[in-house]
Amino acid sequence: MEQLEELLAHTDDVNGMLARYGVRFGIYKNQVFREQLFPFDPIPRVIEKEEFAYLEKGLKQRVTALNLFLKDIYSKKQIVKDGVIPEDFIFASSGFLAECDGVMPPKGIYAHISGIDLVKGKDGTWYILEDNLRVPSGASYPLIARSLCRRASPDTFANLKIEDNRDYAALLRRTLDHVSTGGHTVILTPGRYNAAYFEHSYLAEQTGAHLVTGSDLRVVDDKLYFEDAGGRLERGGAVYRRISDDFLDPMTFNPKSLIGIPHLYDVFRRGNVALLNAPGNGVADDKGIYYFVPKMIRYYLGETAILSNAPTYLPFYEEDRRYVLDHFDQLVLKDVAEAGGYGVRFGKDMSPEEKEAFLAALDKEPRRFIA
Amino acid sequence: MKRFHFYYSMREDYSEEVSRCYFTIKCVPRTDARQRIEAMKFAFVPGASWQTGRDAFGNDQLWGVCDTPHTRYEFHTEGQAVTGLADYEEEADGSQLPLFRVPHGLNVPGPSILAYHRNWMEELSQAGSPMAKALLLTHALHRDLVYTPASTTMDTTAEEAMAQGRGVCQDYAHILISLLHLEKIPARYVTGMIPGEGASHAWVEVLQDGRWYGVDPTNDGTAAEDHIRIGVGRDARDCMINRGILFGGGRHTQKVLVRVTELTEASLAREA
Repeated sequence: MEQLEELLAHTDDVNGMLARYGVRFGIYKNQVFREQLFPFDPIPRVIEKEEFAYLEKGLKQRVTALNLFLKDIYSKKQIVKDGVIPEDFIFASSGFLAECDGVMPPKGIYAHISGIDLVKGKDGTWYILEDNLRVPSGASYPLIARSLCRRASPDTFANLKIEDNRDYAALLRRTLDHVSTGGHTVILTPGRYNAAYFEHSYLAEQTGAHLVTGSDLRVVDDKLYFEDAGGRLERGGAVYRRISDDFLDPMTFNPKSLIGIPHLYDVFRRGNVALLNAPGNGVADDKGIYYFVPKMIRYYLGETAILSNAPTYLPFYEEDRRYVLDHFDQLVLKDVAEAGGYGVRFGKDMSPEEKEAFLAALDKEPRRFIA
Repeated sequence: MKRFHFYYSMREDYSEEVSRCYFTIKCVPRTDARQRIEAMKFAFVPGASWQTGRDAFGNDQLWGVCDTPHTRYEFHTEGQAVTGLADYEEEADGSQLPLFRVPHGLNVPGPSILAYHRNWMEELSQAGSPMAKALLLTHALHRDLVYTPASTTMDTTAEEAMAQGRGVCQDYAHILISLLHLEKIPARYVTGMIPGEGASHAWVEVLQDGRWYGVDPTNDGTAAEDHIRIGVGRDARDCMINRGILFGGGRHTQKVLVRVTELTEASLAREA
């Protein structure tokens, strides 16, 4: 405990350094963008070795099944033919992108970097809260916090047995290189007004990838090029893109996107560039699909899910719909198409008017919600 | 079998110079079970560097960039089409069928579509095959909708067109697809060319016994020998003929010209 107390004595120093390094995260509230410092509490949440190994195993299993699901959905769709998941949940989902149908990403990998949210129940059981497979962010924050803690109190880390996370950048780089089609590796950011801009720049620095915006990239013939500081065009082989599918390529997705790269998806379709994560992943992290992930694990891997979902109800099924109506005040309700905390409501916090509007929406589009 | 000469051209004029434009064009008919395309030519003015490829629905597309500064851009394509080689196209492996069963984009039903469907539910239940149902709806729509040029836009939904009772070929096709989905019949949107239209045309294909058959609600009949197919998709947005991103350009106007002429024995002899 002595070592920990030493670290706690440096709390203000660590927070001071986080501020100096500009470790921020932005949020949009009522259409206003605000950047906030990450408040850091050095009292660790201890996960012991065995529990960590259990989580690691469970997460690997889950991400493996989700990747197999994506590969299946964008090719043969066998899981739908076999009746494991109703087709409405997949093909009417805004996360399913028909443009991606039949396109195989380099090495067949869809979700390279996944942000799976976990929660520990009062009884000590871990639950999966949601899967984020599109453009998850967050890895940089524990990394820099740990490195600043280490600097503030080196003894804490020298004398305690702590799982080292300093290989994250190397692992990320290896992932990028593994799928790269040859050429430079870039991290594509929407720019400094993005919520996770700190993270983009930090990961670029740590992995040695170029930090670029859409205007630094260009498609020539059927390849992607990156314009370096000297104005030379260099091949781009892997793009760790931190902009959403919709904005990625105005020729294939949203035509109004100004931050995308025209024809990027055509280059991807030809197999001439890797995109991390692959476009179209929204079909697997839709909250309506979440319910089916344990079934996917059984279907693709023939295994029982190691990590359980939080108890979930799908109003799509009549039995669940009745449960939701009967226990409204005890439930958390989510709009399946939203992510990152948006579209989450507590039944007990709704005013009577809000509740009425919500129930009307639920009645009209039961597929849109989970509880 | 019929033989046609087809000519498709698109011209855009800009009020200010365009320094660069990216484009994706899907107006290239291709040989399939029903039609054979011969002597295809195309040209970009003032020029372009382009690639050919296929989209997710198997449509041919030309995509590329024009780096020559210009205030007018033209694309021309022409060739011959031999049509009526078959009445249908076999569905490949069925893997994309769910996409043509689930309401999407511009063909999502609303109150007007649902009410219209309810009116015809009984007749439909007695109509029998998917094609019989499609033709029943085609006749009904042809009678109940008023073909009105410029009454809708590229973004008008099936529901909006149904509610106002007016539209063009694109709207007729979306409405029919939407109604067929309510009957659990896979249906898809087709773009193409027909003689005498002057612009591109749109109709519907319906799945029956693993085969896709064409129905043209605008012309109240099947789509057969007179229809030269270009692209398929779930709705018009999937088969947009022309998509572009311009640098510069100011205001622009677009003109599209489509000419489809049947080549009869007599006309071929005259040319020879």
